[in-house]
Order: sequence, then structure tokens, then C-alpha cells
Amino acid sequence: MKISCIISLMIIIASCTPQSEHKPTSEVVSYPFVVEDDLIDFTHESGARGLRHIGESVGSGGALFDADGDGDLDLYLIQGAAIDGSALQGNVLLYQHDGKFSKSEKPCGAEDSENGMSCAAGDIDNDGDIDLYVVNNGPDRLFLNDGTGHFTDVTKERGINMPLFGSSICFIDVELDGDLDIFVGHYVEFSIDSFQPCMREHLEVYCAPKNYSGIPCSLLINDGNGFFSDASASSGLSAYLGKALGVLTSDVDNDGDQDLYVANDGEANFLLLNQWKETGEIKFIDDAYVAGVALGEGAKEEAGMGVEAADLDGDGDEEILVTNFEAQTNSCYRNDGGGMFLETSFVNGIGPPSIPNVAFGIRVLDVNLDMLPDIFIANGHVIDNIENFTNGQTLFAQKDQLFINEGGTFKEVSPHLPAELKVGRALISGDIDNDGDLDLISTSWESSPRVLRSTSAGIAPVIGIHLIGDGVSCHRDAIGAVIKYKVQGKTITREHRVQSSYLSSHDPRLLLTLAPTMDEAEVTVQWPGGASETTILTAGSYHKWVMGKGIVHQTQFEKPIPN
Amino acid sequence: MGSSFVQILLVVFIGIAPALQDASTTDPRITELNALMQKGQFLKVLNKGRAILHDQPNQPQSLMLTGAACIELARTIKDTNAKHQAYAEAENLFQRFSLVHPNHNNSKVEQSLARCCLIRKDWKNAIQHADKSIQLSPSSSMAHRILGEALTGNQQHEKALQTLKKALAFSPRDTSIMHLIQGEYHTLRKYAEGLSFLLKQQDNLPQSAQLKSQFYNTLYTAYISLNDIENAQIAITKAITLNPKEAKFAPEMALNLYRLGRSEDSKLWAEKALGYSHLKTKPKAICLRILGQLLSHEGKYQEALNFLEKSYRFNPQDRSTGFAIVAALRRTGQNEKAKELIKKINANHADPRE
Repeated sequence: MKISCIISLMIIIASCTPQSEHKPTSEVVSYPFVVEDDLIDFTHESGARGLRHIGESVGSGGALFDADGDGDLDLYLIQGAAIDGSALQGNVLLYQHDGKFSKSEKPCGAEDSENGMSCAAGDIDNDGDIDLYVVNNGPDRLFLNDGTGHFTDVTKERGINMPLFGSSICFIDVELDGDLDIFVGHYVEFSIDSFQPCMREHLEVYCAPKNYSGIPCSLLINDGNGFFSDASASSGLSAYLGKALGVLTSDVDNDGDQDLYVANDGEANFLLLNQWKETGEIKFIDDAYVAGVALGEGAKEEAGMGVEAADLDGDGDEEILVTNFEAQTNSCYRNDGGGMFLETSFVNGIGPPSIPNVAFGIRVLDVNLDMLPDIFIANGHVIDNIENFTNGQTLFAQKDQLFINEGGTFKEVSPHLPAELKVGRALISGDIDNDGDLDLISTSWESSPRVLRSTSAGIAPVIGIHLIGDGVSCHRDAIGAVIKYKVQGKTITREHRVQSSYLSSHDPRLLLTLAPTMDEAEVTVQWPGGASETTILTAGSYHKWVMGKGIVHQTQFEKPIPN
Repeated sequence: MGSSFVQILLVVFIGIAPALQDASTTDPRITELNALMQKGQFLKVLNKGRAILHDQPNQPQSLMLTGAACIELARTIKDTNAKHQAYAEAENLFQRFSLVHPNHNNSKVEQSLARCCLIRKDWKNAIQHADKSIQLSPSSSMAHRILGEALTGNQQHEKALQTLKKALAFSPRDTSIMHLIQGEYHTLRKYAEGLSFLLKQQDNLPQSAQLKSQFYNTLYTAYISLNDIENAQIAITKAITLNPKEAKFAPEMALNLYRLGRSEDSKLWAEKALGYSHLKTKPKAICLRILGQLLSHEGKYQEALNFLEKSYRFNPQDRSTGFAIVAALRRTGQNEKAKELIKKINANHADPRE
């Protein structure tokens, strides 16, 4: 059912001062998002059966992508599973019809019933459709799409054997050979046999990650035909023992290859610099301490969950954002260039409001279409009985937070009308209604995912782009492409990535906001590998931009749904 | 808290001597000792007391007063070994008193012995003496307080909390006991209960602005424990308003303003705190670090380095300052020095992933 929601609230403020004249004033309060809680036919199953195994508390995520090639976004959601083998409901692919996400009558072939954590959607075999890699607390799965939204499990035959407790994933073309490689973050070594419950005030609680050993991340290298070899050890990654929860790609050292950033839970984060451009070898070196992105505010190992990167200050390079536990700020590492970052959360307004919350999903998007990137955060505690220890002051379910960019500093505002609190986890972005603004889906622990429909479409001109690599020198997903365009004499820079946030794979299309007076802009794309193309694009449409061919298709934005 | 406790002890000891009525009270040397004790001339008490004990090793009032003087002097000694020696001498004197008067029934003697045990972290004997003191004087707030502290040291936090609450019941306006109770709630991770407890005490505070300010400082820490930096700011502001001369509040003010992103105010308070001549080393380091961090955020890395390096000299264990120096070194072209410092910092820190 589509909720018809009021987003403008008339607040009548009447003066209570007896001496003053009774002058009612009115103020229109608009919210950037409308909450739609019943559009998704899915309820998350954590697998919790009262024993409080750590893996139950941290899932699960999903992906927004066009599975069947019909032009709208579908939603693949990851399901948990009980350790006793019950409730093996499996992951679901939900097709979008009239704004609602529901299952097809036919199985999609990707109903993996392992204990799931996250997934990445991308064209692994460069055949023009979107495939899925599913990360599990158990054996991972690779599903190839036949182009109609039907998937086949090819895990074993494609050389994948990843049985560890995985968390996040991102696709990356490590050696710039035109295909997607796979980087998987692993969480902790957990065994039911050696499980010891953790207590707090005579009550059992989920154990902190410090109770378990970490596991190195893994790298699977694509041979160009969609067959993979495990390069975790040879790339040097096995030397870095972490407790990864959030991962993303970014060319941090600006050398033309993609580096990796990993948010670790309770330990120093990794900045894994790709050595391909320097040495021609598939090697990564952790530079997080030197760069200043290893530790949070106060130089502490924080509980890194979600990660995001964006040029928040408009200087052409990307800041790195990490969501953390309560009593820690969400980190904002300002990029000063030259591989140097400075944690700035207490001085830019992001830190103080984040301290009471346990933050997971994070997404940078231009919420109010003012050309300045804003930050949305999904919060939710990990201790399901936390209220027992805090006299109800800290809740398991927590509010969403939106930080509006005011040109260098951020101000927290209400993202939507008051709504039921949820235990937020993944935060996936996509233009669900194809109206030219970015909507969000936030997954919730043991609940249905929430759609946060953006209300900003139409308030400023926007260009939509869907980048497609040539599949030869650049993989079709074009992850790592750098997009630049000029607005009012200022160059805005974006680096293209599809996986970020927490356990999330986003709509691969990009939205570029223009100044109110503009209706077109000159846009330059620097494709992974270095080739560059420039063209003028008009606002109001999505442009399918194929490397070497230019704009091959243009689709006008849909009319915004009335609020 | 420590100094107020010793002041209370002094009252205890001064009260002990007249209670010991025996033939020696007519001894003019004992009369003089009592008078010196009343005047707070502890060194003289110690010297004269030692002389009396040299002649009369078991003279009860000399044992008590000399022991009390030892404790008073011990608290002014900075050198840890010397301080412990002074407490050991006091303990020896009180023990001798107990041996000479095994049935003394003096609760305060047991309290003194318990306190000396606390100093050398002999929690079990401290508990025994404090228990005995409570048996002898069941409504003594001090005896309960000492027992609470001993139980805290012995990691019996639930029991310590209950005992300290009893101490507070006998001395309901004692803000130092409230502070100890809050500490127990914190250790037990019952942050919300700790805050709730403190909020209930607000109508029961002493008149003294100084003692009230201590309470608001405790309330500040309770809010910080609950990640409520806005209310923490209100509490520390009250503490400072009540007791503007208290040096330890200003660094907390600077730190919390920094947390709140109020950079200019934070800078002012850090500078103000550094103006206190008796500011301790760690708070001084915090203020210098804040000033350095604020300059770093403004891109003034060379200036920042001056403050940060000074801060690091005061507190070389502070990783936050260490890594702030790393950032400033890198931005002033001193990459190798920065990398060396990272190695040094991490070598001193148990990295959980290693």
C-alpha cells in the first residue's frame, strides 16, 4: 500500500506573552523524505534463538539494481538463518511493480539460504546484465544473471571457496584489466562449539568483537572470463588481521588505480593502497596510520561499521566517513591531499549528535539539491536488551539522522516526520521511482526494510548518468570512474562506486545537481584506465553513457509522486 | 576528595586523644602534644611524639597523636615511597596501640588502621578493620565509607555500592561520598542508575559552594558516561560558576566545549586553565592538546606542533596527542619523523589485532 504522507506541517506559533499582541505566525516545515514502511514484502530473520551469537546482531543488507532489465530498480535482500537450521527462508529478489517490491511467483535462482550478511551487484562476466555475489556467515555464493532476472549458482565452477564469516563486499578492478575483481571483508572467527555467553548485570548480552579473533579480508581475481583465483595471500592482504564490517573502493592516492578502505569493528581501520600502478603487481599495503585514517577521534580503535567517501568540502578529493558505536563519534576524515587525512568530527558538526547512537548505514547524497553533499545515517543498537541497562535512556531501535551540509559544517535536521523507531543496519540508495532524486532503503533487524522516498525531485535541475564501461579496457560497471562537471565556475568531482555504506550495494546510476538557472552542463568522465570523454548533458533525464560510444540512450525522469 | 577525607580524619584523631583518659593525661608533654595537634603543627607533633615514645614506647596518647600527625604529613609528601613510609609509620603506631589495648573498643583506631591498609592496597585487612570499626560504631558514616573504599579496591563493587550508600545515609550531604557512589555505578556500567541517583541528591546538597561544585563535577562525569555532552556542559558550567577558582574544572570545560564543536570557547577555556599555576600535569597536557588540535583544524600546523609537542612531554602516554603530532609533522614535511613516531606510539600500545 502506498502511503499518502503529509510532508508539510503547518505549525502555528502563538505568543504566550500577555503583553504582546496575539500574532499567529506560520512556518512550513518540509521533510526531505517520506517514510514508507509497507512497500517491501520481507521480514528480516536474524537467526536469534536466545543464545546471542555475535553474527545474529549485525545483519543484514541488500542491493538495489535492475535485475530483469526493465528499467526500474529491483531489490535483492539478504536473509539471516538460525543456527539450528530452522527458519531457512533464504534471500529474496523483489521486483518493483507500481512502487511496491514483491516476490515473483517463479524462483529467481538466487534464494541462497545460508546465514547471509551482504551482497554486491555487478556485471561479473561482462555480458551486459547484473550478477550477484552473496557474502555469508558461511560459504559465499556467486550467482550469474541470464539477463532476465534468473540466476544460476556458479560458485564452485568459477573457483570460489569462501567459507569464513564474511561481512561487506565491494567489486574492484584491481589490475585495471577491464573486469571486476572481488574484495570481501571478513568479520570474526566464531565457533558455536567454543561459544561462551557474555554477561552484563546478570543478563546475557551479545559479546563484543574483542572476544573473538579477527580474520583477514580476501581478494578474488577475475581472469577475464568470470573465473576467479584467491589472491588474498599473494596480495599481502592475509597479513592484515581485521574485523571488517564496512569496505569501499577509492583512489585515495590519486594514482589511477583503486585503493580500499576497511572499517574494522573495535580495531584500527585499514587503508589498503593498491600497488598496481607503482609496481605492476597485485599487492596492497596498509597506510592507515600514516594517512591518519586508522583511528577515530581521540586516537581510539573504534567500532567501525559503515563507510562512505565523498568530496564534502568541494576541493576535488574525497573525505572518508565511518560510522561507529555509541560513545564514539562517527568519523569524518578530511582529505588534505597528498595522502593526508585529519579526523574532524568534533569541529564540523557531525560528531556531537552521533555520540549517543550506534550507527551502521551511511550514505552521502544531495538531499536538498543545493549541490552540497549531505549525510544520512541509519542507527540501531547491537544489544537487544540495552534498555535494561540504561533505564530506557538508550534504545535498541534508534532514530535516523540527517546532516545537512552548510558549506563546510553540518547541521542535524529531522529527515522525515516522526516514525516508528527501527534497528537500522544497511542503507541502500537508488532512484526507486526514477524521478531524478535519490531514495533510500534502510534494512532493519528482525523487521521489514523501510523505504525513505526523497521529496526533492524537481526543486533543482538534475542530470542522471548511467556509466557503462566498454567491457574491454574498462569493466562495464565503471567502478572508479571520476566524473567532473562545472557549476557556477566551480568544478564538482565524484568518484563512482556501487558498494559502500554498510552491507549495501546501490543503484549504479549517478545524479548530478545543477544550479537552479542551468539546464545543461559539460560533464567529463575519466574511465578507469585513464581514457577521458566529455559531453554536454541536459538536465531532466537519465543518460546511458557507454565508454567509446557516448550517450546511447536517454530516459526522461518520471514525474515526482505527489506527497 | 582525598584532601577532604584527610581533613575528616584529622578531626577523628583530634577527637581520639581526649577520649583516652589515663594517668598520662596529666603529663605536660602530652598536653603540649595535644595543643600542637589542635594548632595543626604536625611536624612538631611527630618529633615530640617520637621523643615521648622513645622514653615510653606504649604511651597511648602519644601513639595516637603521633600516628595522626604521620598521616597528616604523609598527605603532603609528593614522593610516593616517602609517602608510603609515613603511612607505614602511622600504621605501626596504631597497631602498637591495638596490641597494648587489645580491648580498646575504639572505632576510630580501627578506621585509622583500615585507612592505612587502603593506602598500601591491602584490601582484605582494610575490610577487616573497617568491619570491626562498624561493629564498634554502627552509625559511623566514615567507617562505612572506608569499608566501601576497601570493597572497591577488592573489586566487590556491588557490595561497595551498598556500603557507600549506607555511609551516605549517615552523612546525607557528603558530596565526596556521592562521588564515590557515582564511581561505583560507573564501574558497574550502571550509568543511567548513577545519573538517576545523583539527580535525586540535588535537593540534599550542602550549603558550601565549594562542596556543591564538587557535586556538579560528579554530575558532569555521569552525563559524560551516558554520552550526553549537552547536559554535561550544563553541569560543568554550574560547577565552575559555584567555584571559579577550582583549577580542575577548566580543562573539563575546554574538553567538553571541544566535543561540542564550540572551538572558540574551547580555546578560551584551555588558555584560562593553563593560567592556573597549580594545574596538574595531565589536565595541562589536555589543554595544550586541545589548543594544538584547534590550530591543526585551522591548518596552522607549525604553531600546532608547538602546543602538541609540549602536551606530549607532559603526557607521553596520550595517543591522541601522539597522532595529532604525526598529522602535523606530515603536513610540515617531516614524513620520516612522523613514521618514527607512529612506530613509537604503537610499540607502547597493545594493538588488539597483534
